[in-house]
Amino acid sequence: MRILLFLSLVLLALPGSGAPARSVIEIWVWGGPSQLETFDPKPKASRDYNNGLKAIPTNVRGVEIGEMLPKLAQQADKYSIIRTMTHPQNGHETATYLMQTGREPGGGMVFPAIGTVIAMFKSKEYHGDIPPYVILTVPKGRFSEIGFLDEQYAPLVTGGNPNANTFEVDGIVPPGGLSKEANRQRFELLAQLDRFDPDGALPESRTFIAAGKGARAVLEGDAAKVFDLSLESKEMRDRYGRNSFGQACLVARRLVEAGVPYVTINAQGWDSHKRHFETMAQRTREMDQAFATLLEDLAEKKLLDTTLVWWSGEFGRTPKIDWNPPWNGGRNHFARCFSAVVAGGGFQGGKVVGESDATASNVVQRPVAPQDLLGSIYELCGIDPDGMLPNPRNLPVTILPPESSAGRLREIYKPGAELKK
Amino acid sequence: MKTMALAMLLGAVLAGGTAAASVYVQKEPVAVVSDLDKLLAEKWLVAGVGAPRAASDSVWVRRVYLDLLGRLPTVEEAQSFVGNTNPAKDRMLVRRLLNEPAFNDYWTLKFADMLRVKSEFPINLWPNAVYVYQRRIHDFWGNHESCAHFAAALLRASGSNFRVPEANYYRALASRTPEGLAATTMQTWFGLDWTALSQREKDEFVKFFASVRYKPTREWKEEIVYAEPLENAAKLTLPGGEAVEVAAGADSRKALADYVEQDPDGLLARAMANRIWSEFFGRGLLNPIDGMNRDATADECDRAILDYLAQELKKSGYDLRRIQELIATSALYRAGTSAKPEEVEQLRRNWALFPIRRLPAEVLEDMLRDLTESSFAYSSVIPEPFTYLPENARTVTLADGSISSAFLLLFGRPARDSGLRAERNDDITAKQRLFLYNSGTLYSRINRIPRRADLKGLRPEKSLERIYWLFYSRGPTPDEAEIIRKALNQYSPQERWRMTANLVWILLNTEEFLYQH
Repeated sequence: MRILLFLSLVLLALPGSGAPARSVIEIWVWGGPSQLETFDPKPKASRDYNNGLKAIPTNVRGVEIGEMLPKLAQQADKYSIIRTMTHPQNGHETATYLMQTGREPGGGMVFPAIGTVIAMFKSKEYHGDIPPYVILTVPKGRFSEIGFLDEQYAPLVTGGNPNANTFEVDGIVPPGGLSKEANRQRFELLAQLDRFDPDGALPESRTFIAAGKGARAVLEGDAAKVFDLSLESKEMRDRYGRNSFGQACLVARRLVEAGVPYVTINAQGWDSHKRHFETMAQRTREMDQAFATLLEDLAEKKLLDTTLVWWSGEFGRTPKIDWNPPWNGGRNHFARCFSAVVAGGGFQGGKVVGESDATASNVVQRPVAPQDLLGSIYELCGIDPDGMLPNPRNLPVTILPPESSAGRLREIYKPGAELKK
Repeated sequence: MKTMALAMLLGAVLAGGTAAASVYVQKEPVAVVSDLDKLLAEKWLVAGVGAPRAASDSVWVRRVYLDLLGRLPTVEEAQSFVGNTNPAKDRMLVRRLLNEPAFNDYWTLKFADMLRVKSEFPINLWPNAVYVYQRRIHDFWGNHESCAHFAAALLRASGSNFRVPEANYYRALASRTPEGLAATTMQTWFGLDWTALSQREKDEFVKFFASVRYKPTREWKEEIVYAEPLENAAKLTLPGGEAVEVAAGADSRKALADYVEQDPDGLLARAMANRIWSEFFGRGLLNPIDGMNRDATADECDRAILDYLAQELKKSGYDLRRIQELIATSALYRAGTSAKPEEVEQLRRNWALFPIRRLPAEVLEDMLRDLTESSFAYSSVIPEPFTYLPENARTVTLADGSISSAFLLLFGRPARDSGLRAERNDDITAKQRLFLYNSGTLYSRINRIPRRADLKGLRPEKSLERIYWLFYSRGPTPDEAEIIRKALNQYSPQERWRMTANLVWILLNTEEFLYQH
């Protein structure tokens, strides 16, 4: 009953395929990446802001990014930079919620994150064995992404380490030591001994049987191969970087190739209160290589037009460096002005949206609110962000609150990519 | 007396046809004995469905351990119940289980769901407060406290979240506005959906919470809940419609707490009785249990049952165990689960069939822990500070809804964001079955079962029989034994342990194991 209602609402809000973005890859930079060391460098500011770090030119004239991202500088034609993300939440959990749902925390309802919402809408056209939303490799934590949506859209969280010899995705990649034949026999015996309600007289049994069939389809199909990086060349694996984040980006590309609508790569370790610059040096090295390779690889495989990639944390970091102990050169949480990056799936590349002041502390022009960024992603996925979001209490709620006065990022949509209502 | 004769008449009509007894059901229908049974029998009569057949002892003993203690009976517990010929054995067992420490643990979990006990977003109780609040709920069950007293204590609480556990009632919600507090109170203690109330009702009820305030202290994440004294005397309207005078300088919440403690309109009693009922049968007499004012299907019989339970609760001095005993010893709780597919819905609607449901995440985890005799530690970087729980802690005792594991997330443990019952998911999904079929971590754990001390040294047939008791609280049927014997014979004596491992994997993946039935 509930599922039927969900479906009918889903059908109403989905205007049909033909939307530019078939899949979304979200690079979630958990902890809050510094805008100054990434996409909004301020080389002319004082050392107390930039620690002497420089900006470097990119392959797009007039666009410069931080010197820690040389490989991404060579891919700037593929992505657009938003330098004026802004919201009022400076705590991890509230900011994460806001950036993931577009909603201010509070008010009694806990909304679902964008990944689960897109998974739900895209499930109309996606019928693969792998669940429609995959997180590599650990959950975001601090809030439940599913909100009030139905359980079936909850993300598959892979666990495991994609940089290990075998990327063990628990449940999908079978445990070793059992031959195909032994496994077949075991299932045969299970069929004989699972006698509680084998013909499905009870509705719960019918769900149970159907879930079993779905699970076996994954087991016996090619699903596990998506996670098998030994099927990629050594060169390709090296290009992404032999670290967990790099290989997760490669898995994300494979998932998108397989048609999975939403993939989140949860990049951790960006909450650099202390010894910020040491942390950034290491984090940006892995990020630069993997993110740049992902964009290049998607473009080479002609997947970038149908794959929307977005990169953001829950906020940025305080522009003024705190040199005092115990921070010893640290940056704290800063949501007033920070950067995000979007690419592919109907977004133009090579553009810069918004302008921050001389120290990346304030928005000078074109603020971008969380719901404007998320609303743009929804639109390019063919989902109307002003449409209704099914919920168990049938309250009339829209997917997102209304766009801000500055509006969604239509200035960087490709021509013809606008949502057809 | 009329109902008595009626019930005897009913005894002759069988809902599930006249099929032979099985491992799941007896030949005979359930006995109609208690006043509650008679109300159920009336419902059956009105619907023309006949008394359901009784579940077997094995099914029932498993059922009652799972619902009251959140665990399976041990082999010895199950066998001693099945072998017991005392006609009062159901009641004796229920009474014993209601006084076990594990009962307090398990029902604390259910109330912690209802009261949204978690550290992190959107509740933000923070760890210290989570632990004092959860302990307070545990004491409520452990001390056989009146639930009216408990509810009133929370409603009138003021003070530090770390020092006055009850004060966390005012902090454990997503919205701390007067309207948020009012809506949550309606939902929690009266089982009513805020959005379905009239504007007038809402406006009146919000006034009780208008003066609730919060202030920080110098201790990290400590917070004081207090109420600003009323400036002028006010006349407020209680949920039952009666007016109450609150003097200047008084705390209007106290008027509401007094009302809840006395419960003159039985609103609390009905909401609590309905909630307890739904914990045993998967849905309430009025639905949803946290929005009883939205119910569109309950008939006169359902309302009569609820009124009866509410009345009994009142008579017992608001001791929830009284309701739990009535329900767990009722004819419906003894009923079987199976029927012809086309009759299932009607029988369930008329409370003439025990509805099955997938077991809760925490219970499944503890079942695996007991079967595999493996303990595993929870650790969590969220919430801060880093949390590490002792290895012997059972999952149902996990206080903090923010501390989770992939297993608990996968099997639909509620996020405790809203306190709504619907947050706990009892469905089964392909993702869950995939995990049970194929998880490497699970596989390495279940491979320990054949090495259990109580299976060591047993002949293969005996060992396999005991495994059946461990999983199902029953032995294998002759058919099942034959299938297993054949499979066993395919292995050489040295390799027979493999069959034990296989059987464990098989039983773990069956509906009979994964469901409350």
